[in-house]
Amino acid sequence: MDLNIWGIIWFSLVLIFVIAEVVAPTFSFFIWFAGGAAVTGMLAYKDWIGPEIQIAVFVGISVLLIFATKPLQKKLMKEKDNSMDTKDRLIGKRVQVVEEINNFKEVGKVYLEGSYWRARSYKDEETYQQEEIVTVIDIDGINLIVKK
Amino acid sequence: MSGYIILLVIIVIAILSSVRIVHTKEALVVERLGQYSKTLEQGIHFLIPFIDTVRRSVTLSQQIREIPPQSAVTHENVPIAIDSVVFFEVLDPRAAVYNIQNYIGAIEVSVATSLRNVIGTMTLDETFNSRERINAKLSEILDGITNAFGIKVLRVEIKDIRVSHDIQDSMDKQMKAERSKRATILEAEAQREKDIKTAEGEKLAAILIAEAEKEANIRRAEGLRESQLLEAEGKADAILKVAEAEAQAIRKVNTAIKESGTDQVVIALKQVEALIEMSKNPANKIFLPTDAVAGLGSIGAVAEMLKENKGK
Repeated sequence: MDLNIWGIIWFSLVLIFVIAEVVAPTFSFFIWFAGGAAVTGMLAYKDWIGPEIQIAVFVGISVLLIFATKPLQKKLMKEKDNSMDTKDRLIGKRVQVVEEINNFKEVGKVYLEGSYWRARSYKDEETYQQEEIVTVIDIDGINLIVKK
Repeated sequence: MSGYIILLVIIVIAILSSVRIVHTKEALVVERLGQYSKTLEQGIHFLIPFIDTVRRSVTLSQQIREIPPQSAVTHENVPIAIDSVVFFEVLDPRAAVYNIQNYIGAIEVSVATSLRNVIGTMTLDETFNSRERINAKLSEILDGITNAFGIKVLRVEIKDIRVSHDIQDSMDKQMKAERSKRATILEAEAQREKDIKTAEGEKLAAILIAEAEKEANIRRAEGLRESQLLEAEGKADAILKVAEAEAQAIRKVNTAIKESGTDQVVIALKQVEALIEMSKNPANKIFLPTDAVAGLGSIGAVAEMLKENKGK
């Protein structure tokens, strides 16, 4: 059989996509394109379809594979490491109140890690006085939500 | 034919570049067909080629920016030049990208103007001495500004504060004056302490000498008394001993007499002695014991003796 140029192209692409998948730090989408290329390559090798159809088939199969394996993808995705997120880093920290925290008066400041932060009480009715120690339970914009 | 190849090449390139890796502490603000679509967090993501575009990549780590020297004026109208560095962090990438055009530039400008603002309310000494107060006041102002674009200014560190030449001179002079004042005070205090200690030392010495003398005198007096006592006792002892010796002697004599059994002879002798006394002065009266009657026989001899004596 004559070596079909398109066949060669598609199988090279399979190789390229497989390499890309291996190189990628975590699981990624290249594998699906490798699959698409493989299928297209087999069809092209036999000269059953013309180039333009091949491209369409390639794109079609790949996209199909991507969507069809979404559940599988979710399983393979690495657990997100949130430990470095600022939010997660600051939540739970104990801070000192440097200006009375009072949601009605719209005042409130705490001192945390060398910086002064605006602070709000988690409950409007609860206010905290200067020098009290409170805990950060959430961050809203640049406001820290605190609770005793 | 080649056209399809080119098309394929384009498609493959698009596919390969559609997978985006977002690093830790990084955020990708993505638009789909020009509209904000999502913010991609750390990890791997697939963006649909040609449809999804990355508007901006934002660092979520703390960033540092040097603020060019700002000229400011203190409360007492002293002009200063202030070098500072700002530490800030993007908390909301979407706001940072969309609510302000260039958030980094915005931070620099906000800090510069706020700094001038704050310096204007402080004295020169305060700007040198209280970084915390500067930061506290700055955060008041800056939080309001930067909240709108999702950024938190954590800290503004002052690198250098410079004043004009003559003010620097007078500050130096003031410092020198303070130093020498302190030195003089310390010297005076040292001297005072030294004097106090010397006086105390002398007082102590005098007390000790006086006490020593007193003790010496007491001991001398006691010694004297003791020696006198001993003398007296010695004398008393001696007298006692002499009396005892005499008593002993008499006892011994008596014993001897008794033992020798010749007390009659002795009594006769004693009578003779008494009579001799009588002869010296006839007026003497002598009382004789009745025992003497036994010895009357010898009166005749005695009378003769008396006459002889008279004749002499």
